[in-house]
Amino acid sequence: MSNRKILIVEDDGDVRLGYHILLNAHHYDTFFTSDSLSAVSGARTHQADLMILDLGLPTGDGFVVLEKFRANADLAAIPIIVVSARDLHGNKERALEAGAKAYLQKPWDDDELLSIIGQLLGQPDLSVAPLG
Amino acid sequence: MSPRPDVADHPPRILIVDDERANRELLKVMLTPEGFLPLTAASGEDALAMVAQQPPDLILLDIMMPGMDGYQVAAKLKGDLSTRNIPVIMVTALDDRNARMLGLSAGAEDFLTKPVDRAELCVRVRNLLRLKAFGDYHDKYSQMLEGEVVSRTAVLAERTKQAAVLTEQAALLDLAQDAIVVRDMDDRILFWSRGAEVLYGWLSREAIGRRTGELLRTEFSESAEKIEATLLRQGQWEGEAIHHKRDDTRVIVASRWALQRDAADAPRRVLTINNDITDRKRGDAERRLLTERLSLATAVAKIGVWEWDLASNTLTWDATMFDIYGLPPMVPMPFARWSAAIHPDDLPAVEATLQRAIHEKGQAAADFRVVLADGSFRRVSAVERVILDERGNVSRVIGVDMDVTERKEAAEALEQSRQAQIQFKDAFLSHVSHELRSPLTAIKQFSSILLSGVAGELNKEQHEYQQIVQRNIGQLQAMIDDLLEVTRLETGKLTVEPDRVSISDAVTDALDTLRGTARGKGITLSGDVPADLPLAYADQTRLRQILIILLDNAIKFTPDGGSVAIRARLLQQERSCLLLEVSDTGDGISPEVGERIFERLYQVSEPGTASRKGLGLGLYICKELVTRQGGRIWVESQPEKGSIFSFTLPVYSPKEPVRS
Repeated sequence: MSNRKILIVEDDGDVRLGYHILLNAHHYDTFFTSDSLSAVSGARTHQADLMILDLGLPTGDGFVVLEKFRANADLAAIPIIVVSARDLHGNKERALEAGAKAYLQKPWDDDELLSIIGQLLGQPDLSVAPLG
Repeated sequence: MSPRPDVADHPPRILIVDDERANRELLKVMLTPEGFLPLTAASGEDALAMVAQQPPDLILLDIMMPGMDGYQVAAKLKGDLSTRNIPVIMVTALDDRNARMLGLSAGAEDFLTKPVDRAELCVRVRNLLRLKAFGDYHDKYSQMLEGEVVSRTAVLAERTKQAAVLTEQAALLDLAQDAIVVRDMDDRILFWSRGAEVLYGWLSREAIGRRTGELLRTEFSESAEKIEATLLRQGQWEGEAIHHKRDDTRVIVASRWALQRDAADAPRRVLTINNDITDRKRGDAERRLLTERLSLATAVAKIGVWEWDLASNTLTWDATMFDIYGLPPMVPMPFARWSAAIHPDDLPAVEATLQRAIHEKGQAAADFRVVLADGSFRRVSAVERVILDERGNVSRVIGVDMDVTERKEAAEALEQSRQAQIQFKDAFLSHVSHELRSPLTAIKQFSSILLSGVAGELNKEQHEYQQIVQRNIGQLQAMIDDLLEVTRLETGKLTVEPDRVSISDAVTDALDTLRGTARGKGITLSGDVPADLPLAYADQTRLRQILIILLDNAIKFTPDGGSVAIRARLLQQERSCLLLEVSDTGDGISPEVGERIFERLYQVSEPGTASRKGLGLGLYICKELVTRQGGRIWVESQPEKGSIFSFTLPVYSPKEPVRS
């Protein structure tokens, strides 16, 4: 079976590379956009199975992306993990309310990230109980 | 005008006294042709009666008569003041010396011997008449002189009496302490009272005759011409003047002038009464100065003074009050005009305060806003006190309104600036921590990649070194978290939401979290929570946070192979409290550190504590969190043996609200 596809919206190149190495090593295909505007088109083009979303993005807040995904029927089903350097306080709650499935603070723990991805992709019905 | 002695205005009347009719007739016959008017009397008694009725100019008196003889008659006549000047010629037959002596002794002026020679009679009568005329003149003159003396004496007496009265009056004037000065129209001093002597230092005898203007160097507040005109027109003047004393000191006098006019209505003298009001003026000036200072002070401090008369329901305001309220002055001012100026939201409370002060007969204070004509506000702080009338009822309320707009605005600006600073610090720390986390993310990512062997297998050393990198990343991450936590504590963003909490669960959770770290150092972790321990009333997340900080610290400061334990129990002395203890087998804390260990940024700096210290915020955060949950935290330590950090939490009671 082909690898699951993960879209990563992240403006930091180093971090993008880190994602790429880690996720490829765990047999995920990775696609990248570095701004909020191209997130929707990226998800459609690559038919992403999951999205990792940063909040502080050059062309608009990550929350805007969350709203767009929730508003579009073809995208609403894609599980989103928000990974941000922003303070957990306030942001986590808000992100989960906006439709994110999980919230991780940078720098995250790789094992935790991989575990969440595994859960979200292997057991889609877990989405009703947000992780984090 | 003097009488002329030699001119008779009537024929001289000659009284002939003789008991012999023949003798009387003879003499009558002799005298009549000579121009005399002879009168006759037959006895001494008759003669005296006639003399008393109308005195004759001369008497021819017979000596030897029955009844009163000539001597007796003569003596009688000469003994009477009114008849003594009538010349008497004794006519006698006795031509002897003895008889003449008796006659002269009796007062007779001359003698004629019988038989009387006509020529001799006439000469003697004429001579005596002439003499008598002189005598009469002398008498009259003397009388006139005497009369004049008497009248003059009377005038003098009158004058003396008047002088005495004047002196007495002057003495009365002297009793007055006022300086009383009488001067003529040439300003020369006529009278100078004792009071004037005392006031000016000049004696009466020195002052009299001198000009007041020169002596006292008078200075008037108005022109001398004007004063003079007033005096002449109204007959008086009243005002203040400055005089100089003999010793040159200045006195301020209240001066009253009265003009005296003579019979022809011409101005004659001026009475001036001067009172020394220097002290009073100084007092006035001092009072005025004091009032001015007070007004200045209240004006500068923007303190308005007011009085509220309850009976009339009117207000009396000073100028500052009108300034504060931006109203045109109005006296008295209706109460409603004030209440209309108060912000409607503040008015009920302010009026209630006033009513309370009246009800309690005391004082009160209120803060409110005044709405100005342009709609802007003034902040006013008022203090008032009631004034009781003689029956003990509240009649008035007096108070001050202070314009505290600037002060309040300054305080608000300060608070705003403080808030802005806090917000800035908050924003700054959020920003900094965010920016610090981004590179840390990449560092951790790649360190993890290396450790995972994705990029190639690491040898033993490389693996170990990457673990050191990972541990330090963890510390850096913890510091950033602490920094944000403290910021939240100070900005009030950190909220504590107490609820029912199981201590057992919280302890288990905390132990699980740090088991890995403890294992890394070979430290034994243990928990001891009685199964029947009551629930705590606390914030579960915060309790977990406290326990993790304390456990993490304990592990950090405990040498490899030591032990760290959590123990929980019900506090014996206070059964509403739960006690939690985190004990270690570390180096302990020296007693002098004591409670300071809970201070912000406090760092243990002792040799041997080689591990990283962190920011020194963990225990501060613990203390804040414990305190905010109604507990307290403390440390007991024995050097070389270890420390016990203890804290309390309230036991949950069914009365406490439970979050759904």
